[in-house]
Amino acid sequence: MIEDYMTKDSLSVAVKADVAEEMKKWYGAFGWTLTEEQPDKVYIDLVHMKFTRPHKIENKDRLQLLQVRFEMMLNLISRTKRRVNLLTALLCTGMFLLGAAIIGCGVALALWASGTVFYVVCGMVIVAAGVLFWVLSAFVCAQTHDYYTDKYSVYDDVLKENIHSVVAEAASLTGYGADS
Amino acid sequence: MEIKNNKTLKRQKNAHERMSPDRDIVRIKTEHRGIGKIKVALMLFVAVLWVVAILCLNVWFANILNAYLIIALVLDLLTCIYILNTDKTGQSKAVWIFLVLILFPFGYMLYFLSNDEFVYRSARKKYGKIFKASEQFMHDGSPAAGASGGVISDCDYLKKAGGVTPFTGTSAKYFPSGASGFDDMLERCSQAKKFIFIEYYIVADGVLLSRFLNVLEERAAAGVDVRIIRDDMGSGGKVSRKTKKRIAAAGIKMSTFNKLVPFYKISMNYRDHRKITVIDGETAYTGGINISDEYINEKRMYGYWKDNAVRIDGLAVDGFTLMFLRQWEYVTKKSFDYSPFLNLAKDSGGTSTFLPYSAGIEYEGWIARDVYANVISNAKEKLYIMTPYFVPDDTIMNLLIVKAMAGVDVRLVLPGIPDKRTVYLISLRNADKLTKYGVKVITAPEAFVHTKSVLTEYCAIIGSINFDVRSFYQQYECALYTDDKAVMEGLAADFNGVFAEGVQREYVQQKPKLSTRVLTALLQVISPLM
Repeated sequence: MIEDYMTKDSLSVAVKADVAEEMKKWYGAFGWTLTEEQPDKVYIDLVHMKFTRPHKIENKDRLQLLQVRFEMMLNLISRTKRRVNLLTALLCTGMFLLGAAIIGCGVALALWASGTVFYVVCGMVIVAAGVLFWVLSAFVCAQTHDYYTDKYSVYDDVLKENIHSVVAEAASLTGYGADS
Repeated sequence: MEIKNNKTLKRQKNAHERMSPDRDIVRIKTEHRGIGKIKVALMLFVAVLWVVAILCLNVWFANILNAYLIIALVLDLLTCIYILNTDKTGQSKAVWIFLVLILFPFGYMLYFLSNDEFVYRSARKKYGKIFKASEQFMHDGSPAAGASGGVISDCDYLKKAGGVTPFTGTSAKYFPSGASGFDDMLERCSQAKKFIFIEYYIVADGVLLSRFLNVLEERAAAGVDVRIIRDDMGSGGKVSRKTKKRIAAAGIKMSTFNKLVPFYKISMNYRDHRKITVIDGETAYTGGINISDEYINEKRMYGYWKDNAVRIDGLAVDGFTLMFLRQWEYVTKKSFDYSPFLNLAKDSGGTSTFLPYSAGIEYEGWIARDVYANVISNAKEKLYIMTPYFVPDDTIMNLLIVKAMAGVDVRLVLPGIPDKRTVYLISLRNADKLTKYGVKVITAPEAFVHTKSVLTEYCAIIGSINFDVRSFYQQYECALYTDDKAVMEGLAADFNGVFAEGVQREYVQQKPKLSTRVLTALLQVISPLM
C-alpha cells in the first residue's frame, strides 16, 4: 500500500485492550479516524490501531501539543500505580529479609548451644521475635500500601481531570469527538 | 467519556496467553534506530584509542631518552604559556591548561593535535579562496530608513566581522512550528522553476523526507536544479541506500559535509549545523528545523517537539543563496559561476531591515556569539531567549546578569524534557545561576524546545544558533537578523504562548541529588570544551 503522505497524516499506536474503545473516542477528539484495528499476535492485552486525519487541519500545532500531553498523562496514570506496587514490594522484601535474618539468628543460637537450656530458650525467643516482626511487617506493608495508594490517588485524580480538559480542548478545536 | 480505574486494565490471564511487558497504556510506534548513540560511542572509542597511542608513544620516548620527562615538562610549560596568549576564552584557557598539566607528559601533544588553528588551516585557506572569488556577489546595503540605533550598531558589527550588509525590499512570515514551516516550504518548492537549494544538519528518512522527495522528484524532472547539503554527523546512517538511489535517479545532487572517518580528526568536531532552503532565489527559509520526522511531531522522541521557522521573500534571499553556494563549492570542491543564482528576487516592497548571516570556522571572529552579545547589550526593555541548550561563556552570562539587574525583562525558555541529559543538567545549572539576578527561567512542560531565537524590543534573531559553546565557536551556523514587525509579532506571540503554560524555575523546589550535583560539577569543568 502506498502511503499518501501529502494529503493525510497517519498514526500507529499500540494500546491496552481494556481502553481500546475509549482510545478511539479520545483520538477522535484530536481529529483522528480509525482505519485499522487488530489484536497483537503475541500479547492478549495489546491492540494495534491505525488512525488517519487530513494533513492540513486547523490548529494543528495546538492539537499536536495537546495530543502529546494526553498520551503522557495517560501513561503517567499507569506508572503511578506501578510506583505504588514497586515501593510496597521493596519495603516487603526488605522487611521479610530482616525478619528471616532474625529467625536465622535465633535458630543458629539454639542449635549452636543446644546443650545449654538458657541459650536454647534465648534462641526460641529470638525466633518468636522474628515471627512477630514478620506479622508486624505485613501490617506495616499494608499500611504503607494504603498510604501510597491514597497519596497517588490524588495524583491520579488530577491527571484524570487534566486528561478530560485536554481532550475537551482538542474536541473544541476539531469540532467532533467531544460528546463521546 | 470516562477514564476507567487501572484495575480494569488487568484481564484474566489464561495459561497460554501472555501479557505485554510494556505497562504503558498507549505506545506511539516510532522508530528509534539509535544511530546517533552508536556514532558518539564510536567517536569516543577512537578518541580513547588515540590517547592510548599517544601515551604509549610517550612511554617509549621515556625509555629510549632519559631526559625525555624533563623535555616534556618544559614543553608542557611552554604550551601553557602559548595557551595563555591565544585568543581563546578565559574558561577555555583555564580548562586547557588544567588538562595539559594533569596529562603530563603528553598534555602538550594532546593540545597541539586538538588545536583547530593547526588542524583547520587548510580548510580555512579553501574558504578564504572561495570567499575571495565570490566577493563580487556580496551585497552592499544599509539598514532601512528609520532603523533603530541598535539595528544600525548590530549591522555595523556584522559588516565588519562577516562582510555582510542588510537588505530591505523583503517580506517575511513567521512559523511557530516545524509542521507549519515545512508545509509552507513544500508548497513553495512545488512552484519552483529554476532551483531549490537545501542545506540541513539532519536529513533523515521518514514521512517528511518522503513528502520532500515527492515534490523534488517532480520538480527535478521539470528541469529544476535541486541540490542538497547534509551534515554527516547529523544525517549519517539516517538515509537508506534505497532513498539515496531514489535521490540520484531523480537527478537531485546531494553532497555530504565533513564525512565521518574511522580515525580521529579534530575537524570531525566541526559540523554544518545550518538550516537553509532557497527556492528560485526568491524565497528562503531558516529556523531551528531539520528534515526529520520529529521536527513535525510525526515521530515522538522527547514529548512535543517545539521548533520554529521563518520565510523571507525578496532581496534578502540572496544572503542565504550566497551562503549555500559557498558551502556547495567547499563541499563539492568545484568552482562555478554564482551569477545565474543571484539577483533574481524582486523588491517585495518591505521597509524593514533583513540581515541573513552565517558563522563558522571560516570567519576570524566569533560571529555567532558576538551578535547575541551585541543584541543583549542593546536591549533596553525586554530580552527573550529560547534555546535547547544553555551553556554560554562568561561574556553572555555576565551580560544577561547585568541586563536583568538593570531592569530589562530577561526571560529564558528551556526545554521541559531534555534530549541530552548531561547537557540539560549544565543548562539548568547555568540558568538557575541567573534567577537570583532577576532572569526568569521558564521550562516548557511536556516539550523539547529546539527553537533558537532571540527577541528584544528592537529586533529578532531566528536561526540555527544555540546558546552553547559549540554553536558559538565550533559549528557552521546561520540566522536571520531582522526588525520586521510581522516576524517580531509572530515570535512574541510564540514566546507568550510558552510563558502562559511554562514552569518558572524559581518556583521549582527541588534539591538535586548528591550524585547529580557531583556530575554537574564535573561536567561544568569541561563545559567550555563542549
